Amino acid sequence: MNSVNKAYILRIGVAILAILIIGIYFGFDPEAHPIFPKCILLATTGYKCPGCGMQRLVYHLLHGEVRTAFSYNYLAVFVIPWILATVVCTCLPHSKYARRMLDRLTNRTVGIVNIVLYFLWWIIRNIYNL
Amino acid sequence: MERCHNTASTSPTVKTVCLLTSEYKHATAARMGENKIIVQHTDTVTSAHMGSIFISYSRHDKTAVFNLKKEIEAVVGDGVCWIDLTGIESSKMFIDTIIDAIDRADIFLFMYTHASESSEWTRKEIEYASIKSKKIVFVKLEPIPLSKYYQFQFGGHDIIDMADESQKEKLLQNLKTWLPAPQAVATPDVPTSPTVTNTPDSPPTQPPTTKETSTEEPSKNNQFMFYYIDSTGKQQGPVDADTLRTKGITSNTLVWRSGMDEWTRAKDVPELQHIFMTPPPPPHRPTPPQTPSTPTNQQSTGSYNSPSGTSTATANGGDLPPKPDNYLVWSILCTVCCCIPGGIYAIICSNKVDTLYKSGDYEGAKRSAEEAKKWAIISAIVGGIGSFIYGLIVGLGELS
Repeated sequence: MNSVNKAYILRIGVAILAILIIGIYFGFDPEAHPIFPKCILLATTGYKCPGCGMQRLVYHLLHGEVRTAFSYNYLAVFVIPWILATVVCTCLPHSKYARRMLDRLTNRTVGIVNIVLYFLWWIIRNIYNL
Repeated sequence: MERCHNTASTSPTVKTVCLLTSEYKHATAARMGENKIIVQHTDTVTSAHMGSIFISYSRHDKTAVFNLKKEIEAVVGDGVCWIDLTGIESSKMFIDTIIDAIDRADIFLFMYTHASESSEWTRKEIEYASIKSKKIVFVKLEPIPLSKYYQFQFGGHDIIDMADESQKEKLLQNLKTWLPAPQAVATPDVPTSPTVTNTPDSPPTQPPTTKETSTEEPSKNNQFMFYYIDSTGKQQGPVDADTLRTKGITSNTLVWRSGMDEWTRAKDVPELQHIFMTPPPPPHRPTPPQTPSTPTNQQSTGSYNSPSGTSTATANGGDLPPKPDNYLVWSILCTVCCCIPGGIYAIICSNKVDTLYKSGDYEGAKRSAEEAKKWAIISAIVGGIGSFIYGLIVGLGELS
């Protein structure tokens, strides 16, 4: 199998997985059902990780309750729009502008901002119990 | 001149050498310190055999030397000085270029500073110039005493101290008289590119000759035959426009056909406009050459230490392969959702992809991208699947 086919299969696989995950989080409330991934860090140390609340967030976001959704994890206010924008840019038909946009969205600065926000949020949420 | 041996990996220096031959006048504009060099030709040439001056210096004194070069050119005319714009690498090709430049030069101008005093390369250049009995002019840029070596070499020579304005003035006037008088020559038919080595950004060393093209040009129904510069900087062709589009050319690929003054970027050639409107036919190349998110498809052409574009691969078209996917989205997704600091390391690797790519280190960027991918997957497995299994166990326990 050549690398092109491989890349296509990978993309299709990722797309199917994404649809599956979105379907699950649309159909089931992570709070109401016991069988959902649980944060190991919270269970072992009692501290929330920066990603805690993401499942509930996705559930509420998919049901249109944006305000409730983001109250579960404020980090996502930055991360989710960014991920969506990047995914859209990747899926756009290839053009100079899409490429340039993608480069801006995934450059070094964005990476650094992400790391800084990640740790800041980690500390702040555990201090103020957000 | 001092060559820096590892510029490619450490700084965005470009390995472009522009040889100012006595036949042609090339305006070379180098954005120093930036990563792109622009080699322009002014019009085809008006005068030739103007003679030339070889400036030997250490790259540490670049600013001072370039200022002096400007002053010299103000007096003797543009395009007379040959100067290594970047700090040439010591590959054989570049050494040949320098030797060639010294051979052609009438005057060898040596810039004596603390840095060039200790440079092995400037010594080699001087020794070569004296073997070739060039007129060697010793210019003291910094008021430092002569080292033993240079006392030995230049003991009998006049030494021009740049600190002294009158001496400087005298040098500029002398340079003018030392250079042979200009003679007019006919304008050549074919644009000759500067002697360029190892850079895809610039036109090739051997321009197609008029003879060659005249036989080639009137091919089938009025189609032009094009020469082009492939991604390794080699001249290819001639091919017709339809064949050209199957060769993976980009809008920035340099092309030339008979009748054109200069090597021109393909996007500026009207006959080639249609190439960029429609995708190339699939049988020749399974993917369009610039597919963004499949870095694995782009690895075919060996090592790329060529200069990178200003900011992105788009800026520079097909000269450097497109930036490898840096997997930043995946790294961050894993970091945010899987609560594993392994994702942080993946983000750092993703960042390195950009930094390395910008410095022209394509191979390094690719390695970093692979590292980012690896760690994103590791943190996804450990974090994601780990918490899923944990959730499953807890959930099943609650259910029962």
